[in-house]
Amino acid sequence: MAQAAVGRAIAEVLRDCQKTFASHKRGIKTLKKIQKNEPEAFPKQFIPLINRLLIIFKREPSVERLIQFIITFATTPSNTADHADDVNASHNSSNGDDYDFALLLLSYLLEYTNVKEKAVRFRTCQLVAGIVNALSESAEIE
Amino acid sequence: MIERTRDKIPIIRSQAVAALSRLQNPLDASDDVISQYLALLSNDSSVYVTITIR
Repeated sequence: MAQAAVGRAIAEVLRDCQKTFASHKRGIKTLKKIQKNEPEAFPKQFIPLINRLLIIFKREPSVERLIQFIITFATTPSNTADHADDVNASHNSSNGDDYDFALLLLSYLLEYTNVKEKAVRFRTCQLVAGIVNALSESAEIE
Repeated sequence: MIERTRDKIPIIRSQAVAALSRLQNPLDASDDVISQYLALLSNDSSVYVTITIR
């Protein structure tokens, strides 16, 4: 899958998830699949797409839904997201959950918590708070 | 994040407080997070912030 195609696929999921909470479960499944198939392209395409919402200060239902989706996606463990075709799940994550993406996202967001623009400060803090609090009990934060 | 709890906009302060909640160490009396929470509880003018701390 070409870089741009990955980007488009992710953008489509994000667009659907803004509209209703019902599409979230499906969206998570789709994104996890893309993430598994394109481990390098995925973060590169995902992160610029969320820049758009970081500049919205006002409380908007679609933004709040999207933020909730991002939090849930980042903190859903890869091995339980999809049982059906994850033949290698047990091989890959022998010691439980894989939070690499969550950590990547967190470090990206933390960079922007001190900027001048209040919307960016607000949304990055909101996302960091959401992710950190949604991580499972076993996750260690350093 | 602790710097964000001193942000001039109250709703940002409350998000920073929420973000720090997982990082506090209740066993440590001089923990930075807890000291900051206590300071804000007594001095912060915004209801958003004080409610989030509680």
